[in-house]
Amino acid sequence: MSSDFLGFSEVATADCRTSESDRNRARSFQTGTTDDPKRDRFFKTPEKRVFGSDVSAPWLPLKVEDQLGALGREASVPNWDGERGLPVDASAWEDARALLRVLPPAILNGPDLYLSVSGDGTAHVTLYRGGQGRATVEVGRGRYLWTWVRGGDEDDVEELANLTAAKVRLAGFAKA
Amino acid sequence: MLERVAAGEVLIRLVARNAFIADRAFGERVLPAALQTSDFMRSDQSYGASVYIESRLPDDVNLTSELGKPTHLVAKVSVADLEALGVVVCFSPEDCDKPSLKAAHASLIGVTAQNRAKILRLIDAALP
Repeated sequence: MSSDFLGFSEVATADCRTSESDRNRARSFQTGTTDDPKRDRFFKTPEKRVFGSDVSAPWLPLKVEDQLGALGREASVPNWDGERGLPVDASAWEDARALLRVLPPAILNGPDLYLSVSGDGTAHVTLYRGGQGRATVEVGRGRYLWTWVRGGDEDDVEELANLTAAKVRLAGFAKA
Repeated sequence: MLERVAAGEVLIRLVARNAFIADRAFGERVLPAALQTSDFMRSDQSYGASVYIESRLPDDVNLTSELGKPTHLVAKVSVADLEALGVVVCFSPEDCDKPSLKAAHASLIGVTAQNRAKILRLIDAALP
């Protein structure tokens, strides 16, 4: 296994990069394939390995990057909300970016996606899907919480085991 | 020992403008981020989400201005309605940094991931 290969692997598991060179590396990685199934397994994005197809955006739209940056700054210090709110730490933002990567570009660029932060130190990715209602994944403090408000008085709340489970749930909702 | 707020009282919860999506369906307009859970928030300094008991506010006070949150929305909710969802509302003046509002300050204890969506519906219904 070459060091270049390891370099690509690192890009695949890291959060979305903001520089153009990093984005190009990530994009070239995502579209790369080989004839070797074992090697190809590593060449695929995590999304491709999990979902069977690459549903991730090659990069985050600038407006989403901007919003992540603004929220990150806002919630970076204790009591950021005036209610003794806990800061949202870097790992939560990494997880939030990883979640966004499972969403297709039409959603990332559309009006149905909302990013927010809570006083309990979590970052939220919320998606509205017409008749399906609204789903939110909360990440932070080692927690992955799924909340689906289905209209009426029906809710589906579940503590998910890990980030992969959260990505699967969000990607499924996005396809609904 | 915290003093419990009477069920007959009305409380005010402020909702950040960016946590309220006005053009969505009723019941789905307030984002979960508008209300932190108590799951890992409780500490010596903070019991839970801050609210203000309407009857204890100083006369003629503008709550949003007083708190420096002029764009926040004001939702008035019955304490009894929250208690029905398993939330206990207790006075918590020590949680409030504004001397003028300490007497009215209270905390929502028992907001969990499981009951939060229902609480948010109450708050949603109280918004225009």
